[in-house]
Amino acid sequence: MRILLIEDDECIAQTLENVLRNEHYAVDVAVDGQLGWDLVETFSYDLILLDVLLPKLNGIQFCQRLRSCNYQMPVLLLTAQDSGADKVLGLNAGADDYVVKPFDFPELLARIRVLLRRGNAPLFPVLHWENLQLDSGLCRATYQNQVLNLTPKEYRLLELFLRNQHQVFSRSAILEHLWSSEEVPNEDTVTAHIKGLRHKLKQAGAPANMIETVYGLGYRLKLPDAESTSELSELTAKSVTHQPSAQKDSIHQKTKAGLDQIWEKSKGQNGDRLSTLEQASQALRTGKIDGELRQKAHQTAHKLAGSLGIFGLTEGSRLAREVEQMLCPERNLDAGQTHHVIKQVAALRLELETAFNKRLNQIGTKFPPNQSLPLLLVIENNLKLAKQIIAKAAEQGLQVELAPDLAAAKAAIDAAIRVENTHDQLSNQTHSTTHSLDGVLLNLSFFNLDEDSLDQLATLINQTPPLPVLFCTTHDGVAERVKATRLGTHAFFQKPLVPSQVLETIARVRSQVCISNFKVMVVDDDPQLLAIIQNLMSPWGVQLATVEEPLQFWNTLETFSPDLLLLDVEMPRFSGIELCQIVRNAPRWSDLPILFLSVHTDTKIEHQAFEAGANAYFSKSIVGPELVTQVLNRLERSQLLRSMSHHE
Amino acid sequence: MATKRILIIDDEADIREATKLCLEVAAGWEILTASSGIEGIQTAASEPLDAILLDVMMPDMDGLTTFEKLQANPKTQNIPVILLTAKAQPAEQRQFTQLAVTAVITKPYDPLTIASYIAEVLN
Repeated sequence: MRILLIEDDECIAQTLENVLRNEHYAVDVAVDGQLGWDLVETFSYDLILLDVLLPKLNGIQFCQRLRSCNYQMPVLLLTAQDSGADKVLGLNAGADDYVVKPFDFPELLARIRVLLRRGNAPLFPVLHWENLQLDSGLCRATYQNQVLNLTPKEYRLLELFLRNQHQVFSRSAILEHLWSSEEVPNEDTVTAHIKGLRHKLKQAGAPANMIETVYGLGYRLKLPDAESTSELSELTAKSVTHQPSAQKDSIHQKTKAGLDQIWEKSKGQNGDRLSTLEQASQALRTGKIDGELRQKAHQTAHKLAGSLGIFGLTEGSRLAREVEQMLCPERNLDAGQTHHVIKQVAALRLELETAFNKRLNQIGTKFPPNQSLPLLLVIENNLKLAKQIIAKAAEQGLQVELAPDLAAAKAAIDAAIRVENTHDQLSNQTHSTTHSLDGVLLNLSFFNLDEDSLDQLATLINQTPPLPVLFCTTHDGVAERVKATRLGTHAFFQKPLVPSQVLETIARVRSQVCISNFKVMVVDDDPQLLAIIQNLMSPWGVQLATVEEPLQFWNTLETFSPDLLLLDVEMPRFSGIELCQIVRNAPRWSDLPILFLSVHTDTKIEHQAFEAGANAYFSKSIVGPELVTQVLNRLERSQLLRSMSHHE
Repeated sequence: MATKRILIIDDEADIREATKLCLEVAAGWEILTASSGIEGIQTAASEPLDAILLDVMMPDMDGLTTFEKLQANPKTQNIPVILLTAKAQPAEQRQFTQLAVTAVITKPYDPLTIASYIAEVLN
């Protein structure tokens, strides 16, 4: 029997725990109401001993919550407040009985026994099952009047079965009932105790397997009519039909080959399942997971756990099972548990991808990446290091595609180039089914890519905006550094690598080369010029708001909230210089970078623009790339200043 | 193993196909499949069957509801039903023991021995 004791007085809790353990109860202790609630949600208890005055969640509130959530186990209140009102309050809240401190321990234990009997079995002091008897008052079990010499755990095990006749107990359920959460035996311990109990019963003359194994479920007392087909059948490994060895081998080979084909066919389905879990993982990371997504992810993890094991992915099945348990809708996840789920989902992706590559003996077969997460390509043959980077990346909301050998690296680079080309062709469409890379970690010292692949890599790196590429090598020679520089890589590491350092560098380089999410507002009455600027800036991921009519200026400024303003000088109704002045007069916009772009080249107007608060003044004859560079430099500087002010 | 006709009801195509394959290759049984409880009930009522393998967690109509409906129909109530389920929580396990199912097989099962297990159960 497992008891939860919720008591904040350490001295009382310790004493009570010892008394209960001496009676062979499994005891967990919680020092406040909230911790007690967490334990109730995690484990199964036969009885709760509950102090009334508790920190965080008092005993009355605890009891009310317990009953409102349909927990039916008996509750015995422990209180120092010997007043009628408190007793009534406690009993009305759902408690079954109360004892007043200081305790009379024999009375307390008697009340516990009464409540346990009431909760689990008829009020018979002696439990019977055919010729088996268990006298709970004497703590004695007999078979045909012959005393069974049981250990305390065997006695409690037998009592559990006798108090819950016809009920099947899995090994984990038995662990929950008979061991406290501080004791961490594995399920084999239960098997050993069952074996011991069966042996002693058999020695006393009981039929073999009086405690029967129910295949797929656990153990229970053997029913007299258990042979009936309507009852659950018992199966053991011994009962597997014997077939000649050669025939069995042939069947196994055919089965495995067939399973491989089904596994390959199920790639899309498993990709969808993984995608659901990654969506949930991402939502957990941002703290924005809703009930529907969590429920869906919970069911998906359940399905995956069952499916992966059948295809031989034991580790994948285990990871999915863990995610399933963590995402159980009734469970509240703290920060550590949330972090754990995110890591397990990332590990699951790695398991699935590795399994596909191994099973199909084919490189580059990957599940589609999650569209909502940045994607990092890691070209690295050290799987241990790769796994560390994947785990660390998952914590930061990045996903990793791993190319563990030369062929996979080339395939990944090919695919990335195709994706970039597709993006170029689809640049005017809002949706794309492909995912471009957000960074590459490249171990060139191992791979020795051929010239074509290096050219492709250079193309990939020097796209617009450039792809952040980190070069790592075991040899820190000039030749390696030159090779990396020629490719256009952004950082050079000598091994050994620290995963967090790699990811920090990727993030830093990304922020330098990728200006996405920056907002630029352009005001000009010339629609052609607005179109040209749009074309120049859009490849860099900059969000652009164009204003042709100065009357709409203020409204757009307030709603769009730009990071940089680009103004024409001469426009109908209001000049750019006037607009600049009103922007500078508003405290909110005093730091907004303002650049002028004008056909006027005389110094007087330029001077007026600077007096009004401009940061820079350019002639419209400026060539496109130079304008882009000026704008990006201002944006980067502005970002840096903002970041410094945040740190201060 | 004697020839048998078995119906697998499971909404997950990969598990359905894998189970079918294992039973066909290892035992040579004739396997019918259904991807939902409703489809399974219809098949069970119209085909002679030796047993039904029934997944528990399915959308629309779950395995337990499907089982109840199979039990309520005189045409299907005597067909042995084996539940296929991923590792169940204690409360679910208790629920299964209340049912007159022939056996419960926990997923993931061993694909190389499942046919023998089922043969034992049905014998």
